[in-house]
Amino acid sequence: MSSQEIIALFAESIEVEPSTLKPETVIADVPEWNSLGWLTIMSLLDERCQIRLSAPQIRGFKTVNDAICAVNDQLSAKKG
Amino acid sequence: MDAYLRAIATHLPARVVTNEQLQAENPGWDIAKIAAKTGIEHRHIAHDSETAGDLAFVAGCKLLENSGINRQSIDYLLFCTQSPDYYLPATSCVLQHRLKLPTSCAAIDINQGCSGYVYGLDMARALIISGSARNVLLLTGETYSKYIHPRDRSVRVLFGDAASASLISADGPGAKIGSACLGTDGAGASNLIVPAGGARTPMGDKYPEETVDEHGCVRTAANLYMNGQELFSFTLHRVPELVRNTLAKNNLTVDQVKWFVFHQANAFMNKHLQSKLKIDVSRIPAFLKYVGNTVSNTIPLTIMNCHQQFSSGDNVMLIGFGVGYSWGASVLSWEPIISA
Repeated sequence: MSSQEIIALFAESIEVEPSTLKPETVIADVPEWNSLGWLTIMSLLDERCQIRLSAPQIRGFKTVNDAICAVNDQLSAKKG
Repeated sequence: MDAYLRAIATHLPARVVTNEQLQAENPGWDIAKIAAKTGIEHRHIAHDSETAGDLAFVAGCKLLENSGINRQSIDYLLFCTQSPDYYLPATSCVLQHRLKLPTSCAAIDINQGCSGYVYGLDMARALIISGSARNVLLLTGETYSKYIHPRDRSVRVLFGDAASASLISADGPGAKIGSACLGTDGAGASNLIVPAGGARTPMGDKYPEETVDEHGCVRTAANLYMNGQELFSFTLHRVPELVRNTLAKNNLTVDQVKWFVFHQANAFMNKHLQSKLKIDVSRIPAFLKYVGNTVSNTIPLTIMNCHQQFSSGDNVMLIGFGVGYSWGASVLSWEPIISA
């Protein structure tokens, strides 16, 4: 998945415009990206990509790019 | 030898806490948004002096009075709770006396939560098949509200208190109980826990310190803590596999099971499970909106609320999962039961 596609999935989950999320955006600065938002992201990632992010991983994410990299790592691991 | 679920009674405490009340008490909470995810609008909350044993007593009385069973014939009492009336004795012993069950009746507590009803049914079935008992009274009762900090949004919006009573017998009529699949992964113990108060972290006479987490939820070590993300991840991982294993153990295909009664953790979780398992939503009864997550009571409450839709011969899968981690599923071959 491209970074833009992953951002679109995040945006859809937390119900914001994709253009408001950049790779450098700090997740803690996005009010909609709260614990409920994370649950929806986890649900969509499981449903559409069959991957699961763990809670400790999620706690470690500072920026949107951190989350994009984790999703891509899992997608690569699944293929590999 | 088979075991039959013959009757169920349920009981909810009288006090109701609505989302509007929670919003008024906590102006910073976005209750509408939370409720859209959880599907919960009200929850029943026990009074300060009302215990899980008290709630189960009422459910037990209803069952004994309305099911036609002679209380002298109850030879085993199982009480599933994680909010017992005392450290000791077992609350089931107190309930044996209060319910005027014979002194020849065995009584034990089962410390399980969201998987507890399935565990209780399976233990009752095993006791009957082994010849140890003929009429098992399975009670569930929970007052998680007593563990919840009033300013902990993550759990206060979800949980409600309730009790149930079920009669499982060696003879029907009733729904025949099939083989259960059960499982445990204690690696998840810390993700849904009341950390202090037991021997590991005694409370003594200390009043534990309040902490505020990164989401603004307030709690002490003596309160219920839930890591929602971990619980969700656990559910995604375990429950589809549990459903598949239970189908296989009972020689059934997914299409041969008419109804899937999931533990009612929250609407979001069950919607996701439904979509992941590709089961039509019309086959998944829900009973959450006015009671919330009532832990080991969700499955009997849902059966009681929805069983008029069930027909003789329908296979009904019961699926419980959560605190522990602990999980279990079983299948009922449906025949009408008594709504006590």
